[in-house]
Amino acid sequence: MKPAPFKYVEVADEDALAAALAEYGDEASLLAGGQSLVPMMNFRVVSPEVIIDLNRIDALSYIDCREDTLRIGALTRHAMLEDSDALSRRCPLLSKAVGNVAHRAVRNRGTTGGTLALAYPGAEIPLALMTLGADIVLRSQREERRVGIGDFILGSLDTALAEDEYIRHVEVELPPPDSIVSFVETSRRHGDFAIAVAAVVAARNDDGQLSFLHIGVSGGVGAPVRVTKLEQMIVGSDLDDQVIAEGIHETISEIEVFGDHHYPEDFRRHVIQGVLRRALNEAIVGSERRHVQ
Amino acid sequence: MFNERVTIELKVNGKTLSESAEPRMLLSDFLRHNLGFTGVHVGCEHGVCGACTVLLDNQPVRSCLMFAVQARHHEITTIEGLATGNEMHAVQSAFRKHHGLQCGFCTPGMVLTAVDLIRRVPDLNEEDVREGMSGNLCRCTGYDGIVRAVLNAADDLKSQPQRQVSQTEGRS
Amino acid sequence: MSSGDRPFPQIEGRLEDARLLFGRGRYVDDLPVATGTLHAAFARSSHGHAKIAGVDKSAALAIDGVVAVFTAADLAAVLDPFPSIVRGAPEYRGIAADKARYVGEPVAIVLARDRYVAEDGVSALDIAYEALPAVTDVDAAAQSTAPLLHESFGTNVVWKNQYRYGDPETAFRNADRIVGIDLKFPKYNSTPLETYGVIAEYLPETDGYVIHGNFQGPFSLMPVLARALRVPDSRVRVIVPQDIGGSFGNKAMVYPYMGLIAACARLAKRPVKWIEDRAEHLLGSASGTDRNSRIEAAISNDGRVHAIRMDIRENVGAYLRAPEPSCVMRSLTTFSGPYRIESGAIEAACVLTNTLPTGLNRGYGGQQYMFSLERLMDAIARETGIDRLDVRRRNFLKVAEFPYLTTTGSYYDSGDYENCLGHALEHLRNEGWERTRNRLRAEGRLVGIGVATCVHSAASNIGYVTLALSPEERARKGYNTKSGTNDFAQIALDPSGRLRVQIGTAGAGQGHATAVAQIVAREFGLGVRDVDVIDRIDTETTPWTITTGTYASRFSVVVGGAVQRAAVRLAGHLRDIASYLLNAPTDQLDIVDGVIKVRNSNRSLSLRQLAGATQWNRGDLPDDLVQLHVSESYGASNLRSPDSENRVNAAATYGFMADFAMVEIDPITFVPRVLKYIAVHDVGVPINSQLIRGQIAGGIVHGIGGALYEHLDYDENGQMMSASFMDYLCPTASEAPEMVIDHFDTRSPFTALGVKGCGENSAMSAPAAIASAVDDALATFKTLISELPITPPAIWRHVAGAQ
Repeated sequence: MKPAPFKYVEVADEDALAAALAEYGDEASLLAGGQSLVPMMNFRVVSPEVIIDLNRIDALSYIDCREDTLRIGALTRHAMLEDSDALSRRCPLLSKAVGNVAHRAVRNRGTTGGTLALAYPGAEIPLALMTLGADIVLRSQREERRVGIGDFILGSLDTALAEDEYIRHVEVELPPPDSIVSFVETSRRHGDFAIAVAAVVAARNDDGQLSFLHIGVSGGVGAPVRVTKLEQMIVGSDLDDQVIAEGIHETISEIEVFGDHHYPEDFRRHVIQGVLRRALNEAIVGSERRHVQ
Repeated sequence: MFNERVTIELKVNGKTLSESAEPRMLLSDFLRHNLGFTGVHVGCEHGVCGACTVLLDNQPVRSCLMFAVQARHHEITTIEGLATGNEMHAVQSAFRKHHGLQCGFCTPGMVLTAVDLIRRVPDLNEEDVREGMSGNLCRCTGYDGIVRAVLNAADDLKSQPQRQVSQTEGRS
Repeated sequence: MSSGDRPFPQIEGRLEDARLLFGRGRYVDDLPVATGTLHAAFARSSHGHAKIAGVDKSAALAIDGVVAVFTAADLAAVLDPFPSIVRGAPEYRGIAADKARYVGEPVAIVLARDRYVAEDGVSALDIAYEALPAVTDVDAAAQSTAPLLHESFGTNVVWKNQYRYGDPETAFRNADRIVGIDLKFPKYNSTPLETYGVIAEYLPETDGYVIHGNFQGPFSLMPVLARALRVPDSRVRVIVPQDIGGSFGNKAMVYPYMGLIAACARLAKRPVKWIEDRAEHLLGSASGTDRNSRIEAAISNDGRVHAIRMDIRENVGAYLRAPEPSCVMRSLTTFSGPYRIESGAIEAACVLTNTLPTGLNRGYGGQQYMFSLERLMDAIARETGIDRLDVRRRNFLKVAEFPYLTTTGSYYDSGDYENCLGHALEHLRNEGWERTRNRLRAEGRLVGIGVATCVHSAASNIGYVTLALSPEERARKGYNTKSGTNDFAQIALDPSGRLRVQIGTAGAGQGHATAVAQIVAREFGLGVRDVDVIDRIDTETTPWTITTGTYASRFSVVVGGAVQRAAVRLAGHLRDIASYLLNAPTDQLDIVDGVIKVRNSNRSLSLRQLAGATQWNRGDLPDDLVQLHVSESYGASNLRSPDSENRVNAAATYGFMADFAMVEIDPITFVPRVLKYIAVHDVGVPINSQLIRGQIAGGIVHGIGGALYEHLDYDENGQMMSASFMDYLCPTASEAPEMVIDHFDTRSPFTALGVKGCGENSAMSAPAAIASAVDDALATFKTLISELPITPPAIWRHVAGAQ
């Protein structure tokens, strides 16, 4: 399975990258980690005329932890996120999510920008970012702009990235420092693409009430979904199991779920509810424990 | 120019080499056919089986998912570069002792993945090993001998530190 | 004096390991090729069923570096269809001519300076397809209204036959109860990590071919290849590389590609190399059969089975190609498994569908019938209220009955099924399985334990292939009877005094060289590393037989037997020479630690000294005394051709497997996992326990793959839905369970070493054991799993359906 021939353009900095994109636009694909692009090229599912290799742009590889936000350069390898102590302290949801991405050899090459630009359904990092809340900073020769992640990922394999644009970095809203996270993924084998995956971040206020709650689900739903309706139902409530279960059932029934040959729609829907119940339970119980300590 | 050949200078197993290739040539093919490192095996060409795993600047990567041109000025370690002369690396010895290989096709990728796993994760238990090796497929062994080999190699290396695998340490 | 009962010397690891660990294996893609060798890439059908209206080669040929494009029409000048076992079966050319009949079927071959350019050529071909309705379900394809794959054949039922043993009608009439189930066994493939590879050259000076290929045998396929290539058998020289990256039956079916690539080489007048890629492998290599079947048992109320009725509808894919329909033969010849079932009525049909043609796949018909039979035993347990293990015990053959002639003519050599199962049960108790299950259940987890007890036939009798014909056809004048299995081994004492063994097994990592060195080392009292073994097949120089190859778990029985014979004979010759040189009678000579010693004396000769004397001082020795090179052939005993009642001894020897599986099912996501596995097998006599353990561990994971993960899954249009390793799910180290593997051996009275084969093992029994465990895990829902793979949506449907 050998790829079709292409013109190879290597860029050493962001200006060269923007210029190359302006020149080649729709004929070009960006090569970052290559863990999704190269298999598609090997299968000849895609055969870009031009490949722009941006792996030399070291300036786009960084993790910058600030007070309330976290900046991640687009070229940051998953392995760097995985190994970051600062990240596991300050943003454990993202840490957990990245540990679920494929296998280490893939994480050594795959990048944050790459996984966002692909927007594969069920992908862990887009889900984690959607759940936390994040802005994506995009740049082209024309302009630099900032797009909320909900407006960036439009659907399965569909984003708002223009032909001449690239992702510079992601700015993530950090949850309260004492929040509990839960990341529950279901797949057939370890490291596979998810059938369904749920992410929850929860924190309690001084009175022990659940005051902060972000919930996201992915897998067969197109773009990852931030289930704000469910968050509102649960926050400030007395956390009754039955009420939560009904809330899950109701809100997930309203989400569009896609089935395919391997996993029919009704099965997927059932599993999404299941992983969500698990993730919520873990986060609620965990946040209570944390509060008590 | 479209598909213009590029010169690729890189280090493989400590030695600087230079060959030219089309930009679309996969690193796996470049290592095997242009440079003669037939110990790099190709099992799927879509990054799932792990047979093509090599160390790039000391980190395991799937060489079928990289273009050779991307390896310019980097350091690659293949299975052929692991032993010191005829003396096996502790992981290779453990694979032999504990029957961690049968046909040998997945073995180069398995061994290099194990070398990295042992170096990165202290105090590996069986579950850690299974998870850490789950990106490398084997159809012969049922993973039984492989898991035993990696656990034993980890123990051996704890008591006897080995020379570093490549000349440069750390990450690029 | 024979070494018969002495233990085999052991080593840590294997002789093969060093080169493989250093990355110095020599697989087919590692072989140097001649300058000017062209590289091939295949254009393959994207349709399940379509007329091929035309192939426009022009754009492909215009690409710089593309040298030729061949279609079936071009190749027909030098390549005929591959002969089938079944007379009049539809033509199989290995490449589509007027019609494509499965997604992935070769349609054209592009030859170019390298594989990249060859694939560019494939992309540039303009192939016009006219889609036809496709059929992928075996029962649908058997209907008279189904789309016909081969119009001139008139039906998709390409072969069928009926077999009757004992008196099934009476047994069913008199049964206390009849228990029956319908089952579906899926299509999957062992997917060795190394794909097919062929390098071929045509030699005009001899009108012959030289073909390098990672072909595992059986070499009964060689005449098939030669006939297609239109040359005498002796003009096809096949060289199997030193190393094959796994095979498991799959690389028997590289032979059509050997024919295609060889034909390309002839037409192009240059050597041609082809390495299959993974996409091609999943779509276009070979797979095991999928099977729809119904099985019924006539039983007494105490659970004893008196007769079986079985109706098998076997999907052989788009073509019936040799060695099919052998896929159904294990199901006939050993239908009774380990049980005393005296009557059977079996109807078997092979049906063509728009799917990948089948071939050998680890187990080869074993897992299909064992799934049916073992599910039936569980069903009987449920119907009668008798414990699953007790039902089996009540039907097991007893030790005193061996050797036991089954109603089908299979001659079971030895066994102690009761105690082998008991041994497995002891492990289950020692490991605390029931306690673990109960504890996990108390936590709300769905956990179950399952069982499978199966006979492992090994070293198949080539005669059983002829069950495909009727007794009348076999009795016809001019028909050539087929039976037996045999192989060669050579041993020589080289001039320096070193023992060198030559075998040809087409092994793929099983450790044949090591096992052979152990056999020889035992005979001469040497260390294993003191024996050199060359395992290589070059049909020009390696003695081979029609049954040569590694398949049907035959190695230890047949090649082991030949090696043992050769070792004993050589030892005898060396004693004769030593007797002369030491002036002592041969019955006073012992070979100990590689030295020939005169008993009760200090006179001795090392092998080195003996070799030296025969090399340097030959003139002083009687001419007919010096025999230093022995070639032996070993043919397994008791293997005749089928009789007029279709009875035949299917195999040289019969092992036994007692397997337990513990499976957990997530109660919310329904993802199943095998937590633990116990396998206690009877291998006759173990040569190397480490190698055996490795084989069984590998077999268990292949079986798990078939039960839970691996599926060559076609939709109704013939599109294959698992065409990459992202969808075709091979178990990883995370899915492989903790395994307890042990032996309970009963020596074979019929094989030279007392061994029984063990290569296929739990690849055959694990699917049944796992289905049994899933039923136990889902006990409250009263499932009887009769279809594989057991996927999360399938489990959910069972559970949701029950609620």
